[in-house]
Amino acid sequence: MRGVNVLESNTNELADHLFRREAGKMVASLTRFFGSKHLELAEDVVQDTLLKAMQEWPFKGIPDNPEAWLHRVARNGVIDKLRRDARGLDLLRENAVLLRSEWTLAATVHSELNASAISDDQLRMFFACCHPSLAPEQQVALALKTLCGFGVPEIARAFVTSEETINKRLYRAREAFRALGQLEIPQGAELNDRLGSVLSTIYLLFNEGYNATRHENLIREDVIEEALRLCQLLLDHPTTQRPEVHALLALMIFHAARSEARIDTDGAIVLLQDQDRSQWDRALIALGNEHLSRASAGELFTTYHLEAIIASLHANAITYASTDWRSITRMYDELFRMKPSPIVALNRAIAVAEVDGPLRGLDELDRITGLEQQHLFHAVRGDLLQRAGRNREARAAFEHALRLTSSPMEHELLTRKLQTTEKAGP
Amino acid sequence: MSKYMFLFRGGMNPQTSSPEQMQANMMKWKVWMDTLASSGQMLAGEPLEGGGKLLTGRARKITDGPFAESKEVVGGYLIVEAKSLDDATDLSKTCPIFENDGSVEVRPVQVMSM
Repeated sequence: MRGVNVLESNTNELADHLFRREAGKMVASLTRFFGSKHLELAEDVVQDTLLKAMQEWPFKGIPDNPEAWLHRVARNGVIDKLRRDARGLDLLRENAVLLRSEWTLAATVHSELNASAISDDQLRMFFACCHPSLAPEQQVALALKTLCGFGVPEIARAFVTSEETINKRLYRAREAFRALGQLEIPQGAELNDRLGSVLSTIYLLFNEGYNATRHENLIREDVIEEALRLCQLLLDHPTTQRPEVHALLALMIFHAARSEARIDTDGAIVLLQDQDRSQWDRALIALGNEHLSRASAGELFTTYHLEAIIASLHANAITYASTDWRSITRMYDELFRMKPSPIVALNRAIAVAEVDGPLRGLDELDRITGLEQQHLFHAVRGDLLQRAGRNREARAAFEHALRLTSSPMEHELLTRKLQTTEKAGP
Repeated sequence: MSKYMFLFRGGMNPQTSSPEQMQANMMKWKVWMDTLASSGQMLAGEPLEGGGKLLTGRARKITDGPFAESKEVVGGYLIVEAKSLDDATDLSKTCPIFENDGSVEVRPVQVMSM
């Protein structure tokens, strides 16, 4: 999994994703500088900066410090814009007068847009993208576009939707964003609420990348990588270095550690019980364990903690059979108490079946409502019925699941299961 | 050996390209030019800014550029050394500009007769 080594370099003299990463940083800094209503202006200056690099570097060679080159050219772009029309921009800032005088313009821009402020700027930008006035899917789209430097077609591919849909989301997101004013890192009581929505955006982003039932693997890996990077960004800042952030990162890392083993060489889904555990990334699991132990500092216990503990019990189990299903069941009991969703109940039923047998698992399944249209529910039901020796009913459940999925990979998996029930007879 | 000028028109549209695409495009150009430079065939070259002025007629009427649709605007030039026009044309075939519907015009630099 390349996702974790976020700042890897390659042999082509230029780090992978350098333009994308630096675009995200520059947009964050420039938006803080100009204020939220000038987001498009910030994006334009950054686009012009990348264009200059694209045109000049092949002729003149890649600069010794490409990041510094980009940021310098972007600052000069800002100075140009201000020189042309500082008053027209109507900047919300105390020292606006300094930006209107040629005496002080350049010095002010260079000192306000300095490299040491970049991580704060990214954090401010992230909180702004996750502001409650934006809907969750708008938050994710805007963060990917501005903070992570993805293009609209790339975001559309990551979400398996049309560019038009993403453009609409971004349009509405920008409208709300422009009204925010100056970008701030929330403090005190406000921080708790706002951090919650930042974390759920990261988790949403991660799940979007992780649920590999659809195509476009490369872009999905980039999305996973960004989710991990944004979470790390929170941990790098004293204000947001909190146990629940460690819990979320641990949770994502445990999943990432197992991601290679979930798909075989033909691109087919491999179920947890059939996965080759030697393919799991032990170094990542160790890193996950480390974050999980840091997550346990303090009193706070969130659903991320529970999900991370469940993921760690799976990741640290030597075999499927030796998995501590009893503890997992208890964690799901607690998780269901905190977040009573049918998906949690479904996962709980699977754990119950491992501890007390398929019939007890089926009892639990029968109590779940709201998943009738989800193929996963019927697939799990089919599995438990098959294990209980009720092949005829299992077959019907798998057929039902097949009718509900459009994913070719899920389709292939369910067809395989269906065949095993047919071999086994009624 | 003779000199030839490559004139580049069109190519990647930066308004609709993502940073990732721009980086990939930049790297392709760099690799292409590095190859020309390391074989000693690249003599000079510069990218050109958008915009500029156009002066026409006896009255030197001045109009602002860009002068036409972006795919017709010259975005840069190279001077290369090659054995023949055919060789120079072959060199231009590997230019990354074609991946983005751009064009290369290959022109022999005139040799002054003594």
